[in-house]
Amino acid sequence: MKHFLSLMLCAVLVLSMIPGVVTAEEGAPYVNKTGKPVTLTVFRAMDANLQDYITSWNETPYYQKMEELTGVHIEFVEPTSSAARETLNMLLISGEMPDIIIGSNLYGNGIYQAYLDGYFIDLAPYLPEYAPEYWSIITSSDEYWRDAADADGVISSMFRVFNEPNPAWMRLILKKELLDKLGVESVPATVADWENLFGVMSANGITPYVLASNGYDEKFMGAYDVMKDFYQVNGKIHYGQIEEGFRSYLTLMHDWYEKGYISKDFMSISNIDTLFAMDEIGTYDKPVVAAYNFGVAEGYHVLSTPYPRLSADQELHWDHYTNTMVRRDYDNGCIAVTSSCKDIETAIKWINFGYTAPGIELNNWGIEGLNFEYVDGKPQYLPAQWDYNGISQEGLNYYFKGHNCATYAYSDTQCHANLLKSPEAAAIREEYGDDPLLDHDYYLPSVSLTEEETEIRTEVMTNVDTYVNEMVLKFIIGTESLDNWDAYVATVEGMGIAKAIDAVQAAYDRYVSIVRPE
Amino acid sequence: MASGRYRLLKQIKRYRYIYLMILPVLLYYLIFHYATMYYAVIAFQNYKPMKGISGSRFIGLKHFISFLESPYAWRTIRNTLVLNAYMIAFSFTSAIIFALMINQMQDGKYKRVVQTVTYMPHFISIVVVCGILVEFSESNALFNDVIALLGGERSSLLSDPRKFRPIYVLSDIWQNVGWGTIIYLATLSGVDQSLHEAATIDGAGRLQRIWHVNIPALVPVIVVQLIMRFGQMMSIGYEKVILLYNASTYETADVISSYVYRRGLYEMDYSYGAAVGLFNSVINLIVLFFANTLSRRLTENSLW
Repeated sequence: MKHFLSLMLCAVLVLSMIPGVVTAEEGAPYVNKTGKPVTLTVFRAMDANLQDYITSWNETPYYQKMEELTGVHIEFVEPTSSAARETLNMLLISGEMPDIIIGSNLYGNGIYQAYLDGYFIDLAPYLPEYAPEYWSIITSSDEYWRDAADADGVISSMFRVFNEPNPAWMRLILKKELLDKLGVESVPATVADWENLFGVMSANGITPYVLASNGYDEKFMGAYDVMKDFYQVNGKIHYGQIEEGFRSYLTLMHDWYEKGYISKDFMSISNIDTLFAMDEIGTYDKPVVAAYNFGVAEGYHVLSTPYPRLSADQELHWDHYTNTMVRRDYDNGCIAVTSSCKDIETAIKWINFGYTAPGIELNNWGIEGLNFEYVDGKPQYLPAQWDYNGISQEGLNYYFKGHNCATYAYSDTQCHANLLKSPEAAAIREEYGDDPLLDHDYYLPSVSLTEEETEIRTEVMTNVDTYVNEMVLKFIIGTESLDNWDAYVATVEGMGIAKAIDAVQAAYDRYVSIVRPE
Repeated sequence: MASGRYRLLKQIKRYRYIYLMILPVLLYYLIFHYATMYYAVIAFQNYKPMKGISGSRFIGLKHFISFLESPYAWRTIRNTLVLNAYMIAFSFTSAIIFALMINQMQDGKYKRVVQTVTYMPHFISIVVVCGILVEFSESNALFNDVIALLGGERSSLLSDPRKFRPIYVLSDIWQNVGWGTIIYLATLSGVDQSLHEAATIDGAGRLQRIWHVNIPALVPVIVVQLIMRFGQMMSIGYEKVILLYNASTYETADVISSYVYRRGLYEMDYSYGAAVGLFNSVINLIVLFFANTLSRRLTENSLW
């Protein structure tokens, strides 16, 4: 009997090896074709929506599938997302850098500076050979190249690239039931409409509006033709917080705060979602589809709103959602290779996998048969994508697929599970997306500052930022009178804001003159 | 000399286990407080971690000058000193008064319960305490309920610069008053009972005995505690500041250490952070020296 068992065991072992051999011959993994195990170390912060369910990225079907397809095993350095920035900085200083950094934009002075400081390597020399798919995307047009490369042709990270513009995902949201109860028939369009609505809400004992905790709301600022920090108008760099429009914005916010239209706790409030659900607050800036789906589950109807304007025919220029296809603003969508990486070839090929056909499928859709299937040649999610092992819906996006990762990405309207949940969910995301009087003309692309320019900017802006952020809140809550606006502007100018503007201007001028390689 | 050294060796041999016990503490100070002093040199450099100390550019006192010229130098120094003055005036003294009060209580269950209950908050992590404070300070939360009950107006307490210091100090008293009494209670229990008897015979009442017997007995401990408190003055409590402040309360809340944290670690301006940190230590040394001298002059008790 004992012999029989051990024979069986041997047979099972031998049998189990056969498929492995067959795979290696038929379709070798995309990256590691040696047949020997290869391991890379990768930094990626654990997603906040997943951390209650898993302890490592390697537990996700997404990375298991990735390992199977690429033949590369990954050891993760995975701090919680709230500690990501500090952990990354510590890792870099300590010199024990992983091979690959996902979230390379977390580096304090920016990705390009991390290259100048010697942490990240320049990928440009390797890309044509090791990452032909990514290379062909970013060299396909001057716009793509400008946003993918730094001024001197250095490529310090690889980015999430969209196939079509991704519509705005944050909006001021309202609840239909509440508007009905208040007898308000249409969602507000102008700042005056908002003010009227807030008046009605306030009279009914509802706190109308929770301003962002730092006091900046890009949407209302946009109505006054300013953006936060640096932006450009016809190629000329401006610093928003000292512009006249910003004064008007602060005046409005202070007025609303005084009238009780803005929550007294906007700086510290932590349970906005609950308060909104309970009709205690009227509106706040929120990912609109997530709010809508949450409302459906809780039995109320969330409404999206157009961007506020001073007059109905005002042109807005601040929209940053659609300004470029090459996105440097997704933490998971910026990947760098560090200077301590020994196997640059494998590392770059592994990243480039996200831009090959199977990688695009895995990142955008997930795993066929597990969370999606092809119906008439078109991918469709299976129920598992919304309900699996009790994991939260937001978490499942990261569990099955490369949500917001560096890949050739379909827009959210094509493949975001939250939107595809129902036609209404998709519709609310696209509502007001076709605004003909809206563009991104003022947007400042991600320009690369030289070491010297960075030094100037840091020196000036650390003082300016502290001062300005403090004053903005004081102006709004009224501990500082707006009569002192001129003194405030003079102080910012005294701190040398002109030098910082010049540094950014120089970098911007280089940016617009970049020519892509042939 | 030779015999002295011989005696020392002999002593070390005899009390080797005691010396062994002191070793970890000694190493702690050598490694974490002395060896690291070398790295303070980055305060005089434009330090880049990848280039290392030897490769980074030397720039002298530039960071110190730019700190002292910045609008935040005076404010952070002032806030640090004022916050600590508040802490010493209220939090430090409250432990002494509380110890005297507990000492007057009859031994028994009630006393033990009071002591245990007041010790407990000390063991709660500061992160948790501050999380609770932030929640309770919102305009619709507990603290405001009490204020409203007493006829006050509801407001967001932690966004008002004038309320930051009271919240900081009062919550510290709540958290640490019981723990702070331990050392004083130990001293008070060592007071010779015959002194109390003699005072009673001389007709001293309870308050007079506290004033003339208990407090003089506590003075040496208080002075040592106070000087040590001065020694930690510039570094103590910054975690709590960082957890409680926000941009609208920088005016009263931003202390040197929290400023160093923002500049040095958050914005990765290591050299600048190190320079301000070093400056902080220098101020602390001066304060400590003054406190010690003052105490020696006034009470004849001092650390050195």
